Parts: sequence; structure tokens; C-alpha cells
Amino acid sequence: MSSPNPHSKPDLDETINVTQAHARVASEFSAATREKHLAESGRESVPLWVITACGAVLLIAGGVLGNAGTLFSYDNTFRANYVRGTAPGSAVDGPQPKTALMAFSAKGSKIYSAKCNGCHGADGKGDGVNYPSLVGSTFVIEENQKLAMVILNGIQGPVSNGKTYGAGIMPAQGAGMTPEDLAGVMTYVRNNFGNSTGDVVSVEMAKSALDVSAAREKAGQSVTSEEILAKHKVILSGADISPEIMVNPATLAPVE
Amino acid sequence: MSFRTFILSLSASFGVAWLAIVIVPYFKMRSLEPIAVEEGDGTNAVYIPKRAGRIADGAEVYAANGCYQCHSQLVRPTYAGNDMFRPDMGGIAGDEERGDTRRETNAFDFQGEKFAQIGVSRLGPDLSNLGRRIEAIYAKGANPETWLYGHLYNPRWTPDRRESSCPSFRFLFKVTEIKGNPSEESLPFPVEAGMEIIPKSAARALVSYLLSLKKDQPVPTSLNFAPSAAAAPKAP
Repeated sequence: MSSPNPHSKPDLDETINVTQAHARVASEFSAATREKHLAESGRESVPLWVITACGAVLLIAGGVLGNAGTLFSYDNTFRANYVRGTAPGSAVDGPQPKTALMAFSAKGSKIYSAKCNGCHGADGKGDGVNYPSLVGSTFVIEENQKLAMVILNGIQGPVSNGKTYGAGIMPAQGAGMTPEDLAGVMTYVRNNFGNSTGDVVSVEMAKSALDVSAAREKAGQSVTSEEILAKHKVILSGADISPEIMVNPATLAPVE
Repeated sequence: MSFRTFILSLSASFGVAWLAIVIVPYFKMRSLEPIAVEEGDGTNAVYIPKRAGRIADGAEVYAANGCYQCHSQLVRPTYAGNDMFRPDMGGIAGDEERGDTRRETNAFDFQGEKFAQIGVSRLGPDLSNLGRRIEAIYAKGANPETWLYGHLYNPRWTPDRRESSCPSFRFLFKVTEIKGNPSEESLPFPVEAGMEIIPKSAARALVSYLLSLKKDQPVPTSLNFAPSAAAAPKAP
């Protein structure tokens, strides 16, 4: 190359001008210029360690991206086929298990306060004139299919003690009731206010109650006392659940 | 390199990053595709999570005060850490009525806000389920709003928070004369006689927003990653 202008590339140290020094070397020792490239200030080639370091970083970055399943994607906020891991340490998540009797009754008491205590009263005694008492009623404490049919379909005319209350019509409460809800409210009514049958209506039994109710001849209409005594004086089919076993209060499933 | 090249390259470097990280997600967040909820009886329900509170106003106050710098709002999936199972971050583990409600954060959790303020660091606790935590644990039996106003006014008031690094947001409150009866929202902090501390409207919006943070409701199958749910075949 032609000898560069020594004044075009001033150095910090004014005594030595690198360009000038290199120019001397380049012109006087041509072998040196071939063997060892002398870079001017600011034009050194990239050192090898920088390239290696960047390569390592790129390798790691590529590994992370590849591990993520997709490259950068706006539509997938979760990795494909993600299944949540289990909680470390404790095996029992969720609420404290309770006995089946308490868990079903607790669930039932909420439904009772939502649907039933407006008429039958918070103590289940009704008011003697318009709303029958649930305490000691044979429809409540005897075979549980009777209670299930009354809850799901309502009842017209005289009730278990032969009396007709008010206009003689109880509206059906079965709309939108899940088997868990029905099992809960039946267990609650059968074990509170002075009733103490001591058994729990299981979710299976409630499911069979829903089936029986749908399969009635006059499905959709209220039951009457005669129909109940004639056709529904049975215990609901389905596996029952012992009142003392521990269940998860939220799902009502037994806890092993 | 000419000055023009330099300016163009600089704009490109920042501009591409800005487009990718700010602009595209912003427009995508505003047009989330509705997800069908598969009901057993085949009803065509759509997943619409509801949040009660002043979400838009409150999110602006939250962003304006830099809360996202120290508080996250992101419960990560289990392949990215233990967020789900840290106490009360993803939901309440032992809720009496609903069982184990913990779940990861998904895009629908941020609907109603302009940006998903997932946060930058966790100098303070994650806030995804703050509303749930306050009502169930911190302010159980008391007024959750009063508790939260108290925290914003003086985060180091309660003994178990005496080392909190949350800055005080006194400027969101004002000290006024008591007119007639003390206001319902007056804070229970010592102040001179005849005066009370009440929140200004920004604090009200912020507290309404923070109490609406309850991101633990059930999600449709395509967003439900629980092991038992994953065992069943997932619909898209």
C-alpha cells in the first residue's frame, strides 16, 4: 500500500506515530508485512476469543429457543403438551378433609339457605299454615326417594301428614340442580332441625334420583302424596357412603 | 459509516424490538379470540372471565405509579418455576368451597387493561390473586378496602411488614377536616384532632383495581393444564 499520510491518523502519544512506525516497518521489511498483518489504530481484526465467546452465547441461546418448542410465538403462551406438575412436598392439596356427614351437610346448608328457607324457614318448621314443617315429616326421614321426588318436582295437594298447606303447591326445585347439590341438600335436611337419620345421601344415589325423576310418567309435573306413597317409597339405588369417612369438602370425593 | 446509516440502523434496532415486544402484543391483546367452554350438554358457552372493579382506571394508576417495577402479576407454568405452588400466588390451595383453585395466568386474565402488567421483578409479592388473599387472609373479618388503603399509606405499619420496601403512597391521600361524621373510608392512622385521612380518587381507583385481582376462576379445557384434566382428550 502506499505510504499513508502520517498526519491523517494522529495518535494520543505525540511522540510516536503508529502509522509512521508501521509504514517504516512495512516498507523496510516486506516479509514482515506479508507474515504479520499490521493493523492501523482502530482497525485491528476481531480477536479469536471474542468470536469464541459469541459462539458460545449463540449456542446457549439456540438451545433455549429450541427447548421452548416453538420459536418466538405470539399465539402460544404455553408450551405444547404442557401438563401441570405436582406440588412439591405435600401430597394433600385443597381443603381439609371432613367427615362425609359434615361435608355433605355443609354443602346442603348453603343450598337450603338459597332455595328452601324462604318458605320452610331457617329452622325447617315452616309456619304451620302455608308451609309444612320438615321436622319429623315422613317424606323427609323415611325412604329417601320420597324426599328426592318432592325436592326435584315439587308437590301438590296434601303432604305427608295429610294436611294441605297454603295453596297446596310447592314449586319444583330441581332445575339446574347437580347431583352433588341434591345429595347435599337431602343430607342436610335429613340430619338437621331435629331430624337425625344419621345417613348420607351419596352423589350416586342423587344421580339415580335424577334419573328416576326424569323417567316418571308425569315427568315435569309436581308429584302428589298418592304418587309418592305408591311408587317412590324406596331407597335410592346406588352405592351409599358411610357418614364417617373423610371426604374433600369441595369435591365431595372420598380422600384415601 | 455515514450519519444517515447510523441513524437508520439505530432506529431499526430499537424499532424492531419495540414492534415485536410492544406493538404486536398490544394489538393482539385487544383482539383475543374467544374460547369455547365445553359443557357436558353441548351448550355453546364462551369463556368470558368477569372482573368487578375499576379495572381500566386502576390499571392506569398502577402503571403510573410504577407498581409493576416490584410486583409481578404472572403465575408461571410449572416448567418455568414454582410460582403455582408458592403460598397463595396462583389461588388458594385450601378454599373451603371450591377446593384447590390454583392455576397459571393466561392472556384472558388481563382483559380490560391496556397492557398486561406482568411486572419486572418480585421485590414485592405477586399480585395476581391479591384480591383473594386480602379477603381471605389479610383482612379476614375486616374491610378489605381499609386494609389496602392502610397498606398504601404506610406499608410498614403492621409488625409483620416492618421491613417492607414498598414506598409509601401518601400523596394519593389527603388530610381533611371531619365534617359531621368521619368518612367510611378514613384511615385508622393517627392524625390531629378533627382531621381525617381519606383517599383521593386515584387511590380509590387503584384499590378497586387491586381488589379485583382474583385470577383463580375455572378455565375452559384448552387452558386447563391440571393433570386429571389433561388425561382427558383436549379440544382445541
